[in-house]
Amino acid sequence: MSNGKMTKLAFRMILVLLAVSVFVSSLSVFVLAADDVEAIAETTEAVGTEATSESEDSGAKKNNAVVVGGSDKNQTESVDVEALKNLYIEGFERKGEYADYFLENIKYDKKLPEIVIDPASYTSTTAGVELLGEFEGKKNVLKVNKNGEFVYTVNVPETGMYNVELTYYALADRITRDLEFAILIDGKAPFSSSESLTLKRNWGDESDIPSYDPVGNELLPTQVLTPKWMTTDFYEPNGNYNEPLMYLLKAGEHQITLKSVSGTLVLAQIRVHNDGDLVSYDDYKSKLDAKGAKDSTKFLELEAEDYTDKTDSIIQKAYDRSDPKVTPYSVSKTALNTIGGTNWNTSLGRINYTINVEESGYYELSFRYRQSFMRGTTIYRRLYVDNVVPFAEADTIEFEYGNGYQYTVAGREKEDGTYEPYKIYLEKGKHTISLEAVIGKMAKASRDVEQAVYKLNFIYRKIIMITGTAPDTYRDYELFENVANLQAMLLQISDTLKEIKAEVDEVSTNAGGESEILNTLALQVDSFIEKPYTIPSRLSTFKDNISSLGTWMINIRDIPLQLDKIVFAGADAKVPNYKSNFFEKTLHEVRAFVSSFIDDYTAIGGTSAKDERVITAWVGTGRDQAIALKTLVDNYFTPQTGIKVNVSLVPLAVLSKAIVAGRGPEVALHVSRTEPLNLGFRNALVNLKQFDDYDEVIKRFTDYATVPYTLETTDVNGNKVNKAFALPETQNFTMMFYRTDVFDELDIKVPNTWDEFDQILPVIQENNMTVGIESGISTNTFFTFMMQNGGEVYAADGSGTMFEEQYAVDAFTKWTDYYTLYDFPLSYSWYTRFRSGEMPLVFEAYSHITYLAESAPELSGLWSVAPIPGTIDSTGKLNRTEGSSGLSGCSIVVNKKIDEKTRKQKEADSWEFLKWWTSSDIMAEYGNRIEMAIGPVARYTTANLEAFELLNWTSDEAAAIKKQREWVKEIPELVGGYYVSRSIINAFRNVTNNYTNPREMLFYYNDQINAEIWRKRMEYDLSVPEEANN
Amino acid sequence: MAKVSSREVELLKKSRLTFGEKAHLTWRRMKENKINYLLILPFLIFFVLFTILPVGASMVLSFTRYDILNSPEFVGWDNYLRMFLEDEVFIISLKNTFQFAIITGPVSYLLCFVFAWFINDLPPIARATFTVVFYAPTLANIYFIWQYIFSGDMYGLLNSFLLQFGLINEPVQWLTNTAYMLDIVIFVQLWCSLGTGFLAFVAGLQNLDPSLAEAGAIDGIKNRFQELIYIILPQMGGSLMFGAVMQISSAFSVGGISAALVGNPSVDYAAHTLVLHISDFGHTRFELGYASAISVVLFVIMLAIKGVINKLLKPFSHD
Repeated sequence: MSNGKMTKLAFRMILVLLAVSVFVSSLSVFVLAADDVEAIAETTEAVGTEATSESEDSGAKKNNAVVVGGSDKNQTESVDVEALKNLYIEGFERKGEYADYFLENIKYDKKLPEIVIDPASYTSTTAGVELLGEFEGKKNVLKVNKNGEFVYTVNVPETGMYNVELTYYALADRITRDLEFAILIDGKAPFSSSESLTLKRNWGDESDIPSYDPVGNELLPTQVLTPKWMTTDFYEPNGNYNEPLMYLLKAGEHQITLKSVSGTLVLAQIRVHNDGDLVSYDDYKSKLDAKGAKDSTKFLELEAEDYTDKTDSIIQKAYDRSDPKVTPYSVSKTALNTIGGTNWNTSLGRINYTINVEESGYYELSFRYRQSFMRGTTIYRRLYVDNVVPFAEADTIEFEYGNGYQYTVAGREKEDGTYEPYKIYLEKGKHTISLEAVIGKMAKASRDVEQAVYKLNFIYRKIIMITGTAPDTYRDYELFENVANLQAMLLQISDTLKEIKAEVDEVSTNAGGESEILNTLALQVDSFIEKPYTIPSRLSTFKDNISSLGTWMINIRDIPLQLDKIVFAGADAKVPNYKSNFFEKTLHEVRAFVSSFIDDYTAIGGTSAKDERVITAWVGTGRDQAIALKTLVDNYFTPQTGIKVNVSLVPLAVLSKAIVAGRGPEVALHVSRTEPLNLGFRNALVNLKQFDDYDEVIKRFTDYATVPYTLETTDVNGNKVNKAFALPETQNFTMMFYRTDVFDELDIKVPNTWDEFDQILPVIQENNMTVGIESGISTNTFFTFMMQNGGEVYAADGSGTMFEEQYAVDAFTKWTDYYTLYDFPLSYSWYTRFRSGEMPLVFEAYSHITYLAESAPELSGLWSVAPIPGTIDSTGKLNRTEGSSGLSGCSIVVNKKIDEKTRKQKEADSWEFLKWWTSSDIMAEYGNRIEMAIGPVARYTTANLEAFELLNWTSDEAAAIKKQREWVKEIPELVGGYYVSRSIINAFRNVTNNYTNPREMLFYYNDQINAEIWRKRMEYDLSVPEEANN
Repeated sequence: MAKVSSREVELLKKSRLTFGEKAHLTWRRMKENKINYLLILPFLIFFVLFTILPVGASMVLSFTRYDILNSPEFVGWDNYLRMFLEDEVFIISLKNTFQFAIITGPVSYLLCFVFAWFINDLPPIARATFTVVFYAPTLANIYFIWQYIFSGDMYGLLNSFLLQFGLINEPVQWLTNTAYMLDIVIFVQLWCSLGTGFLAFVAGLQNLDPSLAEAGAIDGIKNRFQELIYIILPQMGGSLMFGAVMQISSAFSVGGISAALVGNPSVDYAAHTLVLHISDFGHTRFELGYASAISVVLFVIMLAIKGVINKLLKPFSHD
């Protein structure tokens, strides 16, 4: 019996296990991102081949030749591996970069005599340069306006690599981004980034006195430009070099051209120099010892948030409630007690401190900091004392990774394993101490990996040009024969990857997992070399690995650091214990938990009493946005108008319900595009056209930006209805992103018309690459074609569609043809494909420009944006109209629950607020604040034309965007308009899935659309066409 | 205890009572058991406030034209007429809902029971673990991963797999092609349908009387299936009923997964269900009156189905 029971139990266990394993595996497989799964598979696969490839390698070393498996023919052929490794391959190396220039000329690097140039001694100039007698304490200086260009003739005594140092004063401007600058030597930029150099400005807090909201939370101080004379060398803008840029100047006469691309500055001195290597710490110390320097006895503690000034407005004070020993401490309120964090994460961000030293002598420098942001990575900062780096080691002060706050003394590990703190000599008196973000010891790895990502993508692109992106795995493409130099490229990249890995391992003691991708890729490449016939079947993992490497590359450039304290301690000074122990932490957590019941963390700023002139504004996006708005209101709006504004963070989905309940706000911000009209014609929003200055206000936007918010039609009795329910805030639209390198390679031009577009399509597709005209199917492309064909999308009074017109049928057919005849992908991730180059032409929202620049640094200079193609009309004119729907806006809500008089007053106040809010200065400042809080990726897509000019777009980017914007027409919204997009997409899917007749489909769904629109219009007593009544 | 009046004694003797007389007796009994009524009061208040009232309100609203922002306007049976005579999409969604319910309801009900039965004999820790594993998909709403699996991109999981094996030549638009949508949504619905019913079964199986199983073994039960039919099921009337109501009524109110995977509205309404139709009218079109009418219909359907389940499970139920 018991035996039988056991068998039964076992049987049932097996059943359960079976079922469970199905479940568990489905769970785990799908929860893990597929790349990971594939990456794991790849690693195991690659590890399997490791042994063989290594033995192969050693064999190669012996006789300098390796046998390459000739896949199907079994033919063997000897290849000179060393020769392949040194082969120069056209297009494989990026040329014209500083990296190249630097490596070519590094042999000239040595200490050189300096050349000081008086700015006034220029030999030729364009307009925009002006001599000033005296300026801010310096005489004979040169004021350079935007686009000011001027040339110096310099006699160079000795051939060598020179740094160029400027002493400049950046004038406060409405445009607040870094200055763009260019240097040309003998009329040419020696490397590409020499034309896009940056000069930092100087930022500070508006006031040293902290301000608080009514609840007691400290508010972030307003950032202001605090211009001063600054002296600096130029650095590579991508932050990949710790050292300043060097220019090769041969002995003899040279023309040096300087050009200010954006912004205005005053130049006091130009110094061309090479001061040689910095002294080592040992020399620094022994030199000072010889002078009789002694240890100090004093102790100086500096709160890191009490800085003097800094180079970026984005580096800001931050509050940290996570640690009991952060000072000033507050368990539940916002106390700005640290500086930096994730916003002090890009190269050359620098913070300056002023300290008063009471006693001359050596000080040990230590920091209380947090670096829990980048796992397993050491972050570096460069230390300046009075604007000079005191010794070589101060170039890279290390901040190791760890949980929570750490305390470290700047120093080095000696050979015997003991730790030696650096002793920094400070004279009695005032000093400036500066910390600057540098990539530090990862610089070389970062540069090399950027090259490697570029090269790997190049290889990938070359392979898919032969195999396509979905290769036939059972076919041997004989890739080594069909792709020129593939074997050489793979050999070279494999070496590079291994070198980088070795470098990284040497620099970081605990790099661990993150850099493992280098090994994975190297092993994969090695096995590609060995078994080229397996490449097609492993192409997609190869691609995934490349994109993981790209992610890793961006990670190592991210160098955040949050500082709490900086401490200068003499030899015998008593340093307090900066580490919090278990009991302190527990007590802190308990107090934090208790106060979470008492404090309201959701209120943005304070709220005001009922009897005042006060309106409520709802913000539907995020906390950063709400805080920025509240600060602006408190700083400008309330002082100017006396109207107080309560800002609340509320998801706007509840807006209509709140309005019914009479608990709605006066003003709703960031409202989605369709909402204003939907609520408006149901009388829930105030008609903005009732205000006299409406027409004046909308001049701030493009002519078409207010179209979706406007209801211009007639009612059943033939009376005119003319209302508007919102003002635009943001406006985003599509532009054409293209890869310049791929276009050059394929020898094609950027299309200006759809005909040209159709002509380059076969070239792109022949090479197994694709084009993406919309990453999510929406009606915009269809409407664009319609309008480019010269028609309108809807009837002028909004009472129906125009889809029965011939131009609409043509447009719809053209749109669907791209998918049925040209086989465009219906769904894709534009970013990865654009990056790898397999989709060298994509149509994307212009807001993605910053995203691409930030997240694909290896592509810098290899892509560009252009307006979308147009259509040439019968008169020969190019019509580039773009149908767009990228708006958000702000509205005033009707409150029926209050009496007429109060309501009128509130509405007038709200209108004041909307006018203020959409004004150019406020929009620009808001945009800049958001960018400071979140980063360039969040650059504000303001609809205000003037505010756009004040955002951080470079001159080129701004020009391209404006060119497109001229042609952007917002699609009107209709009563019942929700039926348009769903039906058009149904029609589209029907055609592309089932290859049905486009005209029939369009007409079929058009009837449904019109029926719905008419039904809705009748419901709200609006006029309908005659046919609707039948 | 309150004193029984002579009139009440007389009433209790009568075989037929008028409404007034009945009410009097009921009131009398309520007074006697007021402690019990007090105890259920908290629940009752919330139940009335948040269930009875809204149901009543939507029945009333279903006879009006109501756009949330303006006051409702009485339109009689218009909404119902339009629903059955004009609204093609309603018929599609009704069809889809039934298709959903008929497949996912019974199948997931059976699955729930079978899985619960499987893991019943395991030691407690293993049982708890498996319960979590089975229940997790329902709990965590992780059906979003299916969006990735069925992505229309050629690098979507299923597409790249099929492409690699040469089974298809170009990516299939799983989630926007009407030919596949409904099947996929039903499949995913099944995958995460081991819900409350499953938990009820797990609990129910734990509460069986082991002596009955032993008695059955002595009386000649030959295998576990006989045991299941003759011993286990008859004991589980309550849980079976509860599970059936939960599983099948939830099968009628599907929509979330469909909206998440194929969007609302889906292409050509191919995976449109009644719940989605309600949300389409309620949220997108601001036609709350009509939406209420649909929900009343859905309510009636569910009531009817519950009656049917009751009938079907009668043999297993003792109370």
